[in-house]
Amino acid sequence: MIIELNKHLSSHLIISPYSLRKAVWGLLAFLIFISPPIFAVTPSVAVIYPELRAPYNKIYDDIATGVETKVNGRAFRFKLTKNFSAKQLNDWVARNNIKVCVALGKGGEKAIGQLTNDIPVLLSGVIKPKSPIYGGISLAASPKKLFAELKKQNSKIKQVIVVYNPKKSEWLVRQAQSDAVQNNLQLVTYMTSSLSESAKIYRDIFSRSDITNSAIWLPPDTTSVDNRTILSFILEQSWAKNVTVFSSSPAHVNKGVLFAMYADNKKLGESLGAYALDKLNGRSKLTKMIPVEDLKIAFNKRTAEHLGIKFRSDDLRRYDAVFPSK
Amino acid sequence: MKHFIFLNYKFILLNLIFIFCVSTNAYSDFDEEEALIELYGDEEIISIATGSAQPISRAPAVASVITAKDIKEMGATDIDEVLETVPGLHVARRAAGYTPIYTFRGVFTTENPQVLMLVNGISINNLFVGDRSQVWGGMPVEAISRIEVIRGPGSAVYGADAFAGVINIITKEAAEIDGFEFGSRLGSFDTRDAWALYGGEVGGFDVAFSAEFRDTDGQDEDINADAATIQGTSLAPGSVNTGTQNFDTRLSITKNNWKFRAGLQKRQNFETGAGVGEALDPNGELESDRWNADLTYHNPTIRKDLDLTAQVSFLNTSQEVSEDILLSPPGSFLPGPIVPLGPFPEGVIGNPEVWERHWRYNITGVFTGFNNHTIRSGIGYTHQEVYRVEDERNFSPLNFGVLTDVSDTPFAFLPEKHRNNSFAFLQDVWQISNDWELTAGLRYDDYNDFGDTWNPRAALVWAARHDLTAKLLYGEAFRAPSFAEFRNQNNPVAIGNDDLDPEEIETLELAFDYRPKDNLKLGLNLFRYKWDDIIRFTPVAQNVGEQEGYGFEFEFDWKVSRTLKILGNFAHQNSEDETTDEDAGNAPENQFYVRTDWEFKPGWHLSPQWNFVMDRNRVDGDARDDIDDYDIFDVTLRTNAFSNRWELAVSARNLFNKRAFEPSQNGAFGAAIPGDLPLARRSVWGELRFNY
Repeated sequence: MIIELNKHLSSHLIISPYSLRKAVWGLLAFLIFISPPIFAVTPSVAVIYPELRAPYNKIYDDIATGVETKVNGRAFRFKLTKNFSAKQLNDWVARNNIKVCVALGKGGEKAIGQLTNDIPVLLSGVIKPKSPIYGGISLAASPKKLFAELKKQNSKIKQVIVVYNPKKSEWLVRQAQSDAVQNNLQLVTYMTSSLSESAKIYRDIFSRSDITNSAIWLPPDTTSVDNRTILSFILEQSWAKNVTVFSSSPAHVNKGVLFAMYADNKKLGESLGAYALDKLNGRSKLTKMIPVEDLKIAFNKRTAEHLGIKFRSDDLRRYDAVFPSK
Repeated sequence: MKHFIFLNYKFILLNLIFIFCVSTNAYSDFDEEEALIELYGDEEIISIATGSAQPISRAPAVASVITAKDIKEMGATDIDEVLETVPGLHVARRAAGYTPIYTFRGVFTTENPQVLMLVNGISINNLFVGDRSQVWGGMPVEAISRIEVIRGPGSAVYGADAFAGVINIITKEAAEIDGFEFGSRLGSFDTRDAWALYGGEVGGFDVAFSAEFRDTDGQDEDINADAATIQGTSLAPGSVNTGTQNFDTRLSITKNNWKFRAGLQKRQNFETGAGVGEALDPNGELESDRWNADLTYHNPTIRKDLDLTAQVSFLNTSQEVSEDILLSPPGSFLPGPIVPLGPFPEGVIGNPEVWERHWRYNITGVFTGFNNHTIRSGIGYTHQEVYRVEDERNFSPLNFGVLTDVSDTPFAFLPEKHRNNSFAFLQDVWQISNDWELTAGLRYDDYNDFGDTWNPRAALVWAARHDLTAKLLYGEAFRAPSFAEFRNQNNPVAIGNDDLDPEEIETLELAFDYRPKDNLKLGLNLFRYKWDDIIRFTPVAQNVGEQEGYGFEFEFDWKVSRTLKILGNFAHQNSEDETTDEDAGNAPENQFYVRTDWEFKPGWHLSPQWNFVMDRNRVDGDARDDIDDYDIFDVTLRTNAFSNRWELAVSARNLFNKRAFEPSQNGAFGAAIPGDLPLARRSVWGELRFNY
């Protein structure tokens, strides 16, 4: 009799798989129901960037991942497709209680111009923004870091020559002046407005006899140096005259430039995330573009050997990419 | 053949509908991409800079590297299609199983043991006949990160069989796969492919996993006459039989300095091509299981200036018969000492089966503590054994005319034996001056069954200008006699001989790498080789052959614009059989290959390629006319414009439906298959892949 009673009770008390499933779904439904207000009250950071094809997408995805890592779960991504609308973006910003926007790339910059609320913005994924009103981190490598690496490679270098288009690189070259002094380097600048003018300047530079202890810095600006003509000329002349050339483009290293420093996108994202947190807390004063200091290094072993730069395998390990394939 | 149910047409159609319904438009803004290109240079550099790819460093040899991106562009679904595009390498076919013959620079033999194939640097060559397997069945490409092909000798580094060339297949690691990828492909000849890849971090380990399936009926071109035609018992005219079911899976687990890899290449229902005995056999089927595993420890800084790698690896490979192999059709006779033997009412049946396993142990150190020198040295030990031989035949003296198991009797085709090899090598890369580098290396190998051998190599590299590098290379290599050459028995046309020396080759090369423009790369390689002690069955295996050859390869790679590139090569070789003073034959004297990749709209790639195989002479004594040249045009259209997650491709192979043949071999009474071995006519496939 007792056994029968127990059986009877247990058939009511033991939760069947069916009722367990119902309970779980119920709980989930409840969580979903209450979740928007929970998230909505937390001021958040948006990362807004164009959805690109592989492999381009990896650049912005990595920056976004870096931002997310730093802001610890308070970041949302908005990927811009061709047919996105300003209303869509503004609704999304309001719904997610976005208080700071990190915009990436040209598309990101264009999109934040369509925001109706006055939200603090950080810009990245570009060399220089179209509009001067935004602050952020440029993809142009920090001259300070470039010069420090140059000195590490060849301590005899006393002078850095840069040919630049002021419309594109004035802000960077201005900063480079003080960075050069810090690294015991003299920065010699030449302004250009076109590739033909650049070609003439580079011809003059290489015709001088006093460039032995000089290095040439190629700014991230295709109006002052192009791959087809001017870079080819620079590589030919620098090889013949043993002149060090460095840049912000890993492709230049593949072609024969000694080294290049370029953004470590995840770490760049983390730095952006730190600035975004500051802005959330009303502390940040980052109102201008600064060059990226989170950098990777590409190195050309063949050029280094030609220049007589001594290195061991330990030295090679600190580079993120070593060119060329033999 | 069984069909995988998830690969049927309805499934593919539903997938396609699903894509077009759910896919979002990727931004695909050329302006946006252009801005990134301005900074990074090109897509390849973006992949390197973002960690999706590594710059490829090559040995100072004449090498080609084909990346996963190249493989996709050329529309290859099997490595043989990839290898055919390498300058100086032509993939011919063997009648039995239509197994590939990788012909480097005129070095052609039917069994093709003069080529070393490595997967992640570990040999997969078999002991039995020295090839990759007689039940090869191809190799899928989805899990391949890149293929490095070294033309010329490599024994100073790789040891035995790195003779005419080395093919090293590097598989994808976790970072390269980065997530999941699923794909399926349907094509002509009832071909169904499916694959799944995973790469990511699991419990603190970097894990890469791949599984690839192929089920195909294979091409079915006709041959008109075969080895049994003369007896009047032939099944020709009839179609070749090239069906197979393949399953390839690989796993790689990495943590800190340790890497464990394992894999299986399973072949089932593998058909016999133009026949194991060069007589059509529509029912015979074989299978093979090739298991591999390795544990590798690599510490680049174990001591100051010392990089150390230690590795143990294992390979177990089999050749099994699942349906009786018909060496000659019903009613055939076998040649006898006085009168023909037979007839065999059910045909001449022979079912040879072999299982072998290989253990390899090696330690390599790279020391950079001396100025201007990089010294690489290592030692190793290999134990290989044919541990099981099964043999069933109906022409054994034990029970003539009746299918009888002769395994473990003196009447079997091969005894069970082992081979041990110890080796040591030393190589120095010496930076003589700023623009001159000398690589000198020497390797010593000692074998329990044929003695020892020393193999040197030297490479002098001169960075002549900023855009020109010249290399002068010399190398010697050896090819270990296969177990069939050493120990074949009870085979009247191929009898083993345990008193064989290894084959040897000496090669001298001069190579130029010239980059006259930012967007143009040119390469020119000149070579001369001397191949000695060639082992031939006469019918007893003997070191009787000698061959000499010379030639050149010219390559170009031109990025015409950001969206258009053209690349190709022309290869010429002239090889002479020194025993007859006649052309060595079979291999093409001239080859030309050109491929274009054109991104005509963002995310839309059109990649046509055209391959010309020309001037293949017959061997001395073969009365047939020289084999006709052929050219094959393929085109592939691929897009990921709809979504980053989905990719669609269609491809037409041999679009112009050209007739093409590979040479069949000449015999004592003429060629068994006089009309040569037909290749596939026009075929198409469609493919869908998804990643996240």
